[in-house]
Amino acid sequence: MNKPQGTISRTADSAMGWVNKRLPVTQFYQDHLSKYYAPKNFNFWYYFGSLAMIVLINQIVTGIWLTMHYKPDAAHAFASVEYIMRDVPYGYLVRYMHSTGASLFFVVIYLHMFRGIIYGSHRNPREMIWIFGVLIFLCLMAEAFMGYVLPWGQMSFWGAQVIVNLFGAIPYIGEDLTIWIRGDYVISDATLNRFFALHVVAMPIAILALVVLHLAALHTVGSNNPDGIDTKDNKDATGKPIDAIPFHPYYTVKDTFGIGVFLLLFAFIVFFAPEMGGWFLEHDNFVEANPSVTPEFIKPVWYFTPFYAMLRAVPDKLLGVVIMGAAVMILFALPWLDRSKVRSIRYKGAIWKLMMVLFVISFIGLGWLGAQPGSIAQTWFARIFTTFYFAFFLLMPWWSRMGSTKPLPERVT
Amino acid sequence: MIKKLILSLALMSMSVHVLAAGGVVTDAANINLSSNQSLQNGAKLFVNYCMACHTAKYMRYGRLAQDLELTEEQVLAGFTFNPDAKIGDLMTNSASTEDQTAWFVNPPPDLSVISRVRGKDWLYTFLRAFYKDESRPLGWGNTVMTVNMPNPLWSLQGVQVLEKQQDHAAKGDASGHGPDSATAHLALSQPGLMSPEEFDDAINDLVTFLVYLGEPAQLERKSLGWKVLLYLSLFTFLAYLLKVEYWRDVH
Repeated sequence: MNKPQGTISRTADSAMGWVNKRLPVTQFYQDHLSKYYAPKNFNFWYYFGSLAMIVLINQIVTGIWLTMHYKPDAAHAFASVEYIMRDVPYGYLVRYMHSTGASLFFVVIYLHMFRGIIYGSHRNPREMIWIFGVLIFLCLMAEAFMGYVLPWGQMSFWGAQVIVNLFGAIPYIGEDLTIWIRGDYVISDATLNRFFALHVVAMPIAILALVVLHLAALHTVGSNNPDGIDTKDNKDATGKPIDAIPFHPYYTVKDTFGIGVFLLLFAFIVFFAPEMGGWFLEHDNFVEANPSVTPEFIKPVWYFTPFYAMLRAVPDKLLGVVIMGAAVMILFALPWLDRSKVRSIRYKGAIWKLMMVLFVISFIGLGWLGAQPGSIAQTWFARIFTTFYFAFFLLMPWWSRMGSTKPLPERVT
Repeated sequence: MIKKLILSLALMSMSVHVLAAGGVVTDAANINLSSNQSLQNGAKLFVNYCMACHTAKYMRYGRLAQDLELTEEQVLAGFTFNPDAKIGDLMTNSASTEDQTAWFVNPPPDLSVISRVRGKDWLYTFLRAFYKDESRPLGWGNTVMTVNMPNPLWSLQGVQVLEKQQDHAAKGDASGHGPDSATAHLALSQPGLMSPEEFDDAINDLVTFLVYLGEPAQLERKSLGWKVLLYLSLFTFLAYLLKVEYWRDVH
């Protein structure tokens, strides 16, 4: 601090001082970046938090540009998307960045959640981080569902029809509720308009607010790590944590590299496979919405198929809706269901690892089944996987305590 | 239990196969989007044989001129039927929806993005799968899809007839396509202006144009993509070096 200062740096310091007296910018920068300590042993799985942020920014920026040309009007919506694809300079690029971003958002979020589960990032004292995360996931599902209606293709229309009708299964208020959601007796211009409003205004605000809370909760207790041990209290003589490093510059440069790798994948899809073989942009959605022609086979986009498979696995409509809703809601309880002595899978026993493998198989299996027409055999597989999905969570208080755990290390490995 | 499991898995994989083909066994189209000659020929066929009834209402003539390297005069003279057409106009026709509904029950669909719905192989097969069928309202059937339209290309292709099931068993290879193909049971009863080979080539050009029409941006998208990937590779490499440099002092 005693180095000789030139005029420029003196001016900069005094300007910063002026600002800091009125708004603690430097303090904030230190608290959350340069002096915010994160465990030094983050691995591959820890990239997905910052990647989720990148995708969120991508969705907001490309979304703003899309709204400049898109028309939320049942008579013009489909044509306006084609207008963006053909007549707006680089419109195709903005549209593909948005549609690819939507799918990759779910890829990133699913992997981010998986990381949390295997390393016990949801456990004491990080329950609030997890709860805000699940709320973000819920909002993201609503955001994606309504966004998918906007191009006004056949799958937009009939997908919305199927999903909104699910609310009709609720006793007494069901029918009125569906009319209230649609703003009409059928999916129509009124529905498209309100979904547009929710998609571009309400949901993004909710998601951004929840992201702030998610990060605020994270920065209050600090990050977990792949060993699942505490790193905050293990300090050297100067009071700095031994096993943690300042987020900036160490994790900012590391995440920049991760973002580079991610953007390579992202750009490859945008430029060379934007439809992703019909998984990201479905073939049937290039047919304009037609209320008088029901498609042979209605299915949601891939990121909803695990939950859609659960819905179809149950023969009763109301029970199916309840199961589907419960499949998401049960995530809120996770911090209290996991009773293992250790946080990280690295120190857990064979039962835990086996359950985790079966869970991943069930979830991916359900995802695949939800995209199929649903033969008898497929339905039975969906039932087996759904049962396991719920057994994984509901029986967790018992099986998570079974078997032996390995001793925890003193310091991170 | 194990047997049931294996049986179920077999059934699951079967259903996927049938779905992938959309229930119809198609012939493979052989398209080359970088061939301007093919695109121009396809555009000519599209305008002359499809656009009397169908439209490409999301596409402008100007874009066609630009992408197919034609002058605006060439496009206005050769690709439009309306003397008042402007280069910025959309590729529509003058048939009224009321008339078309009366003629065909369902008005012919717009074809701007049909290739993104059906895929190139389906289109290539469908356009070659018309046959004479007096039982149909317009006198034409199609082995790919039951459709209420005449064969617009009959003068080029000639007239096909549907062969009896037992006759076609050995024929599959002769036509150059699989024995289960939707076109395998069809035989030419009256030749057209083109030989079957010439006609297949023409349909390939038409499908090439339809694929282009589905997404005109694909011509530039890929060439831009390589540049972006090159830039990102360099960026990621530098970011990696920076990360390694900073992380030297983390032990």
